[in-house]
Amino acid sequence: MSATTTDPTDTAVTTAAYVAAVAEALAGVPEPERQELLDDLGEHLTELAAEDDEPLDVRLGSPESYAAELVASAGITVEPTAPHPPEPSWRRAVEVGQGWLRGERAEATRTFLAEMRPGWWVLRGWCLAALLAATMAGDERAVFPVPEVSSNPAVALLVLGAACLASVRLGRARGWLDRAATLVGLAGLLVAAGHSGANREVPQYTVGPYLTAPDGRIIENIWPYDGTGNPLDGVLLFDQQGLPIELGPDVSAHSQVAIPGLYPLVQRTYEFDPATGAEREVPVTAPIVSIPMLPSGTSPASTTPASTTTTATPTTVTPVATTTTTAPQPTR
Amino acid sequence: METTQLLKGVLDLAVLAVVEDADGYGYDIVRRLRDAGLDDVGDASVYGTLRRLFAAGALSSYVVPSDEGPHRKYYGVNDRGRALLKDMTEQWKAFAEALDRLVDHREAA
Repeated sequence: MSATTTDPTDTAVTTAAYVAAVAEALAGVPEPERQELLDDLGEHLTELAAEDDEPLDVRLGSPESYAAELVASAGITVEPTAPHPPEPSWRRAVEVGQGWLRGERAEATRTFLAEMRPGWWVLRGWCLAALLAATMAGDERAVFPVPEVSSNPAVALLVLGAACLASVRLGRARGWLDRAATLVGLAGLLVAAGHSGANREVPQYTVGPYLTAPDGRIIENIWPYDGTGNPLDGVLLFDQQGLPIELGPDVSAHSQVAIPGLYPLVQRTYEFDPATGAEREVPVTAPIVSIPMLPSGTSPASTTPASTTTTATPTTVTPVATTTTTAPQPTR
Repeated sequence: METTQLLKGVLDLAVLAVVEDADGYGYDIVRRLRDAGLDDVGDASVYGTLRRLFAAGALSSYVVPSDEGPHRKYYGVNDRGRALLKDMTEQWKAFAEALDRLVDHREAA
């Protein structure tokens, strides 16, 4: 599309090519709108082309930008599509790869890598030492920076130096041993990576879902009381479907009795004893609560006082925290 | 300031005004806008705007056979388009006056 002649057939060809390119760029436009846009675009552009010698893509910009402007001003929303889908991507990748291998940069890279060879040899030596350390030593031994072949750091360093030296000598000799050492070194790298990965593994905790109060606090236990303020033990709680109400996996796991929906949960918490330096088990006791005055004539079993209780308690409750830092002194 | 950016907001008004003067086909409207002094008006923008105004029911269209070339799709303003043009003209005048005052006042200072 770079014709500069005024030959009418030539102009017609370039115009048709331009229209075709615009049509292709409009591939993402839904069909009725697309057809409508293209409807008399050919005639329109033919007329435009006849007016001037200047080629269309110079006057109007690229077909893609023309199409974009058309779509934008026509107020059409377009799903983006790949403009050239037919060519298989692997063939393209192979072509790019081949071109790259023949290129000057590839040659320079090859030269550079060859010059780096002694460096690779030393690295291979480290890998060999790491493999040695990982296979012979226990799990607690480090492989980085100096593979702990021996618990004596000087010996470990000496072994590392020897491995590097041997690797360099093998590399200079360039025999089958050299190639074998590379393979073993690669194996060492993999083992070392797995080894250090295993050491750094962080234990996973499963968290939630928990039953939470409206303010986001996790409800760790439920302490039922009757209307006169007596704590109740062995209360079974059920939801509207008759299923036992459970607080959450971790909370329930701390409970001593595994009956779903049975409250209060019998829990244990652990406290640091400064005298012995050890942790000791502390039973969780009932919180101090204030029992609101129930309206006369309502039994504790009715629903109205229950809601009054929930709204009234949070301001007056002194809960027993179950964390070790703020736990009050237990009763002995 | 980029004239194309300025044009974007008022292209509907410009196209409606030109088409109300006389019905026209796509290329003809582009040329008349340019003759009126809007040199930077984009061909594709005008073409797309005509399509959108037509789809919005502000323009009617009809095909006229041409003796020397292909058929031409002419556009004309209908009642709805005229009402739209009236609204837009009022908006534009208020806007242009406000901006004129602002700019003149600054020039005088």
